[in-house]
Amino acid sequence: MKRNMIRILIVIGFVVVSFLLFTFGKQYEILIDNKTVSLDGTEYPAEYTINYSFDGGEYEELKIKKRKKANVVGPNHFITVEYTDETGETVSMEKPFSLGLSEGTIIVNLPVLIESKDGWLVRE
Amino acid sequence: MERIKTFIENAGWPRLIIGLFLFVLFIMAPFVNVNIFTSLSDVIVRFGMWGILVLAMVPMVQTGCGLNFGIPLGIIAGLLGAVTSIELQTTGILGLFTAIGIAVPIAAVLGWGYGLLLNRVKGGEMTIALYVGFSSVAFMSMMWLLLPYKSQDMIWAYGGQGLRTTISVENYWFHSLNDFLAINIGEHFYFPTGMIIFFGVMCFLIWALFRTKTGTAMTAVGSNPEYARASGVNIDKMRTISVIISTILGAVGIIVYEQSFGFIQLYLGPFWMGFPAVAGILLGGASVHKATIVNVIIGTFLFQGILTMTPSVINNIIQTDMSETIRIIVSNGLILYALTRTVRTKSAKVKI
Amino acid sequence: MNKNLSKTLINNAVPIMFIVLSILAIPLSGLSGTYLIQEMLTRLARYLFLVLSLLIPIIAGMGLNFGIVLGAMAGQIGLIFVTDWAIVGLSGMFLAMIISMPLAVLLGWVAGIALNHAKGREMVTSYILGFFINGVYQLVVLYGMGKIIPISSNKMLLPRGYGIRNAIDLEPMRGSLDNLIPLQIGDIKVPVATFLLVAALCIFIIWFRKTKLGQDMRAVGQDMEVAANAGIPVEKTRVISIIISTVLACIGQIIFLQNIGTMNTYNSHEQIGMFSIAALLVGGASVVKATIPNAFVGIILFHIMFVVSPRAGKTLVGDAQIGEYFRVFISYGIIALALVLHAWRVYKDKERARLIFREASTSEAKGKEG
Repeated sequence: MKRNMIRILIVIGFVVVSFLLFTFGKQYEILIDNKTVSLDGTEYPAEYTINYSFDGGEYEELKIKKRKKANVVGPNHFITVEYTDETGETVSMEKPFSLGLSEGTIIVNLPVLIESKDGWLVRE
Repeated sequence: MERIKTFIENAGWPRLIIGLFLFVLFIMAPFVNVNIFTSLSDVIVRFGMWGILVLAMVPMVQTGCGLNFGIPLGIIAGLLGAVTSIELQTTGILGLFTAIGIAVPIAAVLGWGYGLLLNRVKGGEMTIALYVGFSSVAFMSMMWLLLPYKSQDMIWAYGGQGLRTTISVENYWFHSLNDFLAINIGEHFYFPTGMIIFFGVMCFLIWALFRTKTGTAMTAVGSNPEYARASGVNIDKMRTISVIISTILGAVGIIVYEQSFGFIQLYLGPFWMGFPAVAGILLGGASVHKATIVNVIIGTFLFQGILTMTPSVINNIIQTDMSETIRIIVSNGLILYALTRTVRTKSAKVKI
Repeated sequence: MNKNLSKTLINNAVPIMFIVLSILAIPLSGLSGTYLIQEMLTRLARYLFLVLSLLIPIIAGMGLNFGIVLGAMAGQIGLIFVTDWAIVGLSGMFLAMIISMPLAVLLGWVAGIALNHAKGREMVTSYILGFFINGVYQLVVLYGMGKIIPISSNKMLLPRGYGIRNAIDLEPMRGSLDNLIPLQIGDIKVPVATFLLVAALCIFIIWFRKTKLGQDMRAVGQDMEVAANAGIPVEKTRVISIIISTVLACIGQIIFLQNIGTMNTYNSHEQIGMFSIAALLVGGASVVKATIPNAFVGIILFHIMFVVSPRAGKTLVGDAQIGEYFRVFISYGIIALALVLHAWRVYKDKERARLIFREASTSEAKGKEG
């Protein structure tokens, strides 16, 4: 009886560990877009060259009308963006996001993001 | 009902299943646009190619040395003979017999040494045979690079050193046995009479050998060593003789194989040649302890039949080439079956 | 004293031969010391787990377990799934281990049962079993995956739409264990974490030998009949030893591939059994006795030869190919030699036992006569 209990506990333990490994080890491919998009009838024009970085890593530069790829691992992340607006001022902002267990490609629309509007993170 | 049961027991499940499978394949062949006559002659040709190599298993099994996984040793002797005959520029049936003539003494010497070795490791013959075979192939790979053969048909045209990995026998003794009295019926059917006759002669020789005094002594060594010892038979000598004969048959077998195949495969080519031969004789109903000529003939036919028919028929049905995988599973499954089956009765006796 | 020395020399003939061979070949190869040390450290990390997985069946008297390729195949199936799900790094590695473990247990169980039916010829049977399961593996991976077993990523499938490609890129996982705890001494990188895992395995093996099960295994290894009379479940103990070995080999293969960084779906496992066994034997182990130091020494000696021989061959005869064949020859030759020595010893013991028995019975008969 006790033996069986231990066995069951071990199996449950393995399942839990597998689940954690799955969640925290999953790699996601993110496409970062700096293109003009329409969302809920509003148009968000791509106007600036934007530097972005994931989870405090190195900055990447993304010019207007361009797309880049990035890989992140695990469910919770934050993205930092930096750009110089028309007044010559450097704007910098940080957004946390959670990927859950989503399948498929994930797209970040930078023009929406810098307006601080929801919907900058799209799953396809 | 009882009859069917004993029949199944006598034939053994693997043989029955594979026999049925082959039968089904032949029946299905016309429906999937496979020409049955082409297939049949393919099976016969491959039967002739492999027959002697499978026959080479018999002497060693009979004297209790187990399945001869060390057949590559004989094959190496055969390769040396074949390569040398090409170096000597001999052609046709004469060339073939030159190759055999050179190979046999080499095989006898190698087999003698191999026999002495196996006499010192009674009980562990099969595992050791496996590795003796492998290491001799690897050793000869170095030799093929170093041996001073000069014929332009065999060495690399430029750059490299040593003999080529595959050497064509096209200009020498290609099909010299196959085409001897060969029968062609219509466009598709071809019967390699010479090769089959040669195989038959070999079978007869081995059959006759086991009818002689030496032969019966050899069988006694395998089936009842204590009895053989008591009646004054020199066990080690009989075993050595059987190993020599096995090795010689291996050498002759590979030459016959090559004259039909058209190429001599050197280097790591002989590595896996032992397995189809072992699987063949097991499929014929032989066990680790007992093998007959009938086992050889049935086994080679069934096994080569499966190997020839599966690619052509199955591929036409499912449009995928699964033949290699099927070959691996069938041949090793058979060997595994034989290895695990015979000991079961033994361990039941010991009751562990 | 002198007798002792010659006995040690004979018992360690194989390692000594290899040391001599290496001493001769290293200068010929012209490889630097730093390079060789780095290479040996890498290869120790790569192979130790696999080689150590051979030890437990030897205790149980089942000889060299060529069936570790079964474990290797299980590990590769785990890696295929993990790569398909895009689980990377250390998490991917451990997840691969967890999902392939049940498969390894199952295969080990099958192997154990097969070997129980082939007592006295375990080695050749485990070898053939490796080939047989390889056929089944091909059937599943080359024809089943993507058709019956769902594979989501097209990158992994052959162009025809099913079956896994010949090579799988494990770059996202590469070195994740080796580089977990970075340590660099001069120009030499030390894969600390991998060695820690190996140390854990060594401790496990030492501990295991002392447990009830470990003692039972030793008893079974010495004499099955005696063990059975002492109430030890012989067959079950043998099966367990093979299961443990298979599971360890499964983990070992994952560590191995994590270091290499690419997986040849249909080849990576094939040579594992032979190389691991050859290495263990070079370290001075035999079919009936193998220790942890044997594994260490064996890997170093065997792989020095492995690294050096193509280069040495090139200097000697101007052809690297000959070195390649030489190492294949050595790998197989060393196994053949070890097996011959073992079988010879067993056979001699048997002969001696029979002679003693015969003498005893004749003297008994004489006693009755007199």
